[in-house]
Amino acid sequence: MASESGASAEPAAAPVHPVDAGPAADRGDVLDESIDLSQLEARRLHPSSLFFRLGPTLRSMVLPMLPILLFSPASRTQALLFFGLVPIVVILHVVGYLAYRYHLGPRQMVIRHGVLTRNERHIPYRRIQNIDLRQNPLHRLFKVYEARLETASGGKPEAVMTVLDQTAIDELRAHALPARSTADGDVANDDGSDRPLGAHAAADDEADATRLVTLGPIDLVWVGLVSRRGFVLAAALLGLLSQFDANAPEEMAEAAIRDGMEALNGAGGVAALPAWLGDPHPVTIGLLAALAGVAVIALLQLVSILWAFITFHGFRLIERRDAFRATYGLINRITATVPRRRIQVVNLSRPLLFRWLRRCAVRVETAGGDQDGPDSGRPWLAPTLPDDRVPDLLERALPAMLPAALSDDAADAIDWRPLAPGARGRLLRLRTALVLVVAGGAALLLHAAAALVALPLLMLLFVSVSRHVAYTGYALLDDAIAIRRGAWRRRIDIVPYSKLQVVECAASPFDRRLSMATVRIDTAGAVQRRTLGLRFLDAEDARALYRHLDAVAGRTTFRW
Amino acid sequence: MDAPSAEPAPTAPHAHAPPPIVDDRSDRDRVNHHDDGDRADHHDDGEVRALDPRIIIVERLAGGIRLLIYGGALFLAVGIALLVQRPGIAGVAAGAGFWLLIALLLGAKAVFWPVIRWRHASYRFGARGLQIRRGVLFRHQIAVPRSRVQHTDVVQGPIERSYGLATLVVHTAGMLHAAVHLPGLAHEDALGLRDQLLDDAGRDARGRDGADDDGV
Repeated sequence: MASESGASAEPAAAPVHPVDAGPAADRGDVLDESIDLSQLEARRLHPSSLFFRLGPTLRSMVLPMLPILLFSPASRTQALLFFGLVPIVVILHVVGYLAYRYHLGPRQMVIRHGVLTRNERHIPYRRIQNIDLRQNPLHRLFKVYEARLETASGGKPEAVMTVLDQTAIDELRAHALPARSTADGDVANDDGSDRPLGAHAAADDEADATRLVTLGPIDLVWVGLVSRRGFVLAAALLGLLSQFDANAPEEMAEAAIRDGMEALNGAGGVAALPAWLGDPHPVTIGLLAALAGVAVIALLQLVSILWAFITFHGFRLIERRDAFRATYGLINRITATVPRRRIQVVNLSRPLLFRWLRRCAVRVETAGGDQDGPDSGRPWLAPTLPDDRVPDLLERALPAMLPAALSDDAADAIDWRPLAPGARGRLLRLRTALVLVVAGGAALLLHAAAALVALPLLMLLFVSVSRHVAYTGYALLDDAIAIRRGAWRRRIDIVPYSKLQVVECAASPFDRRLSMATVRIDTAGAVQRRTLGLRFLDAEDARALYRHLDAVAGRTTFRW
Repeated sequence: MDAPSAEPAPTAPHAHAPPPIVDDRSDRDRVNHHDDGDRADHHDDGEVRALDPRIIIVERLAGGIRLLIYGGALFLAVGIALLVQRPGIAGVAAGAGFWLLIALLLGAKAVFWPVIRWRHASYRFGARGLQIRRGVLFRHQIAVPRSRVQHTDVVQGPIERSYGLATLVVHTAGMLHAAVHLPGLAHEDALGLRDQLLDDAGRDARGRDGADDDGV
């Protein structure tokens, strides 16, 4: 206990940038604990690590050389000489593999690696937020996993261990994650049956875990439709094409239009058209274009569904001793573990389709985490879940925070507080002006009729702003604040008071003219640059909210 | 609802109470929901304190340096343009006038703006934590609860050092406000604040570990 009080006092002596806060604080633990490594068993990575580490290096060495070998006989000797480097690289990797050792101490783990520059990293277990596992098909062949130790230090994982087998991971987990429950006297449950991972361990899982969410094929269809991954993919493809040839997208579009026109005009051959069409009428052309559009959308949505099937194949969320564990993926198998107390924010998301289906997507924001991927730092609890099961999941994620009222239907049961009365007018004024300016410009430059486009746009604007303002607001729950917003895709973010970091109240000159203000909430949630905020609150309401949040946050203790 | 303007006046001489961040209309009590927060206001919130007035001089000096750099660059630009274009006497006068106007504006800003900024900035350190209020046009209030302080720095720039001032940097676990800067403190005040915050952090850590061991 005494050892850990040093952890937080430490920063005084060694002020560092917040990104380094984790490791810096760790030093405190290390200094006090003075772990004796010689007493601990030195463990190595799985032998196949050599293959997985060597693979990418060799690939990057050999691949560029292949064209030379094949097509340029003159420089073949040099290229072959170059291959003389390969054994050296292999030897370096073998030495590196042998030098990589880790020790599991009572309160912390120590990773030592490096040959010339020796590196010793101490990671106290209580700093470890997650142990995330990844498994690509090759890993699966060897029955090994890549383990990422996530701490709150932000940015990259604290350590990426490539690769460990099932036993090693069980061991690591038993040390790092249940350490707290073991200290809690929860040892009774902690028998050897902790085989938490991968499909083949599923049977063991059920013993003391609660299975919360599983996704069937239909669920995956909904997830795919909502994800619109197909459109993202198509956009990315177009972007890629334009990298090779700046005119590619335009040319392709032109070619498509030309082909279509030719087909319609019969220039390319009337045979291309069904006989019943006869002489194409403009209306027919329009219908055909609409049909083509629908077909393209359908195709892209099919791709989206395919994406969902690959990504979320076999999605399973279990709760086990105060931690959630989601396992999913067809090609790359991912296991994300989220200890409940690490949850900073819970996001509920209901796109239009989900609202029709009475469904909801649930993810959480945790501190630290890998910022690179789209999903990292914001693990899924459920990509889709029927509304009636959301309260139960929320109750498990944020116990005793009045979650039952947060389903879409029961939203009236809690006291949602709205934005300032003038918010809708303000949003509408600004956006209407914008649309009018653009439409005016188009009318001047192109054709007077172009201004007509403004009409449906303005109608859409009016509807969406009205919906947004009507829905947006906040609610003070027992031990958390909920913020909701969105015109079509509705989102609710729930932040426990104990996870609030900094509260801000801001007012621009425009705000002050209309006596409005913005309240922002900062958390250690992993999504960088995204604070939760409410713009266009009534100024007095905002100030009261600010003081309230400051007061309640001050009364709680933040725990990593 | 006690409005900020009703709170104790800043300690610094001839300091105005910082203006409330928004119009106070306590007659319209739409926020009875928040009585929780209001009750906490009666706790020891610490007094509202103005920044050290020497920050005005420091900011003026910084403004002066900026004026020299920008003014000099602009002088060069205008001078080269005049040399290349070789306009008549009217052109030269226009160029010089333009330069003078900009330089005067920058100079006026360097002289007066720090005072206005100083009047709109204040901080408060009490049981709840640190609260900072600043901004003339865009007004901000930031609250850092005591238990959220990860660690603190006291930073002194060269000009600050020669005037005995310092900037307190409070680091939190947040993402946007990972580091909250409070410039314009007397060096000893900054050190005092830092020590108080550290005391808290230490007590906090012990409390947390105790909770851990109790199995919470």
